[in-house]
Amino acid sequence: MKYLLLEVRGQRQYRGHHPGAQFVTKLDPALERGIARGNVVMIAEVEPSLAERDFGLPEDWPPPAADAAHTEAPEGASSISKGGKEA
Amino acid sequence: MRSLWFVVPVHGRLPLARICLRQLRRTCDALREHGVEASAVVVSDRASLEAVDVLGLKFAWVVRDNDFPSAKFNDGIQLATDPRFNPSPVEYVVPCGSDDWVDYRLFKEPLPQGNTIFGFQHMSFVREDGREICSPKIGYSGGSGIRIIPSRLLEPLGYRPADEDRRRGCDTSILSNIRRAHPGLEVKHWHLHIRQIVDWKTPGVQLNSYKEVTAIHGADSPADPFEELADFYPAEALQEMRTYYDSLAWAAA
Repeated sequence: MKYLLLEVRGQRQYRGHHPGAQFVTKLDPALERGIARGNVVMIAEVEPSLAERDFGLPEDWPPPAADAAHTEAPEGASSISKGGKEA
Repeated sequence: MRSLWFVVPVHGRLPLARICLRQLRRTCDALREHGVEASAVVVSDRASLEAVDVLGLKFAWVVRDNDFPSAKFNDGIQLATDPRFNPSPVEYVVPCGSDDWVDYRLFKEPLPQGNTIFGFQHMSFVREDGREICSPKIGYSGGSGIRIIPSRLLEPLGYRPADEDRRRGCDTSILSNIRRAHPGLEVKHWHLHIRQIVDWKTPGVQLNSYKEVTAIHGADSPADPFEELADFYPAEALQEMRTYYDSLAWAAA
């Protein structure tokens, strides 16, 4: 799927976006026509992603059961810690 | 144990969002007691995340402005489900409003399998003054905007199922794009009771008013919300909400 960062040109709104506004959307035939007419210009090809954001997981995530299922013990670690009470 | 996250964009009406997120914390705790590893991701600007105390609630969070609410849903869904960002991606996501309460029993097993999403056509709306509740049936084939979506269905969409530039109709966009990726998709509707989902209206900024909702979907038999909900939701949560509506009335007087 190709996503584009676009900017609205001219004096009219484009798909609800005001003149001068930038937005990200999928490339489709109607958008291609808009670009060809000069209603919008492509600024860049982008991949929308969380990578550009500041984010955090819950402090208790992953849950203990998932931990056990999805991660391996570090090398040399005992399979039982503190009598197993922290498991 | 199954895993499920609610995805909750927050914009404005922060006192109401705080009450609803506290109730969502209780919902997640109840689900954990019933075999579902549940949590939530809250998506908003930094000041709002602090105001609703997202860290104190032990929820995940993403910082994002409110230019495009659909992108907020995408951010939250991606954090919940994409193994590049979550070491233990969840099996199910539930897009949810920051003004909604949900009965935890909707999200226990059985959860959807295969090319199936669970939707809900019965929900309740509380009037802006907090003095009336009605429970129309949402006749849309997708039901209300709250749905249980298996994460597996989101992989072909890069874990970002909504159009990135939507300000309204985010839930429809999510469903339409999943349908496009999975032509055999089926939405099955669950019905537990008519108060299974509660949408709390307040004066001010919101997409659809109580009047608009009841004009479109009908108003069935209006009743007192706090009496009606006492059988389904914690007294503590109801008291918080009652105090909130009382404060709105006092401020308006």
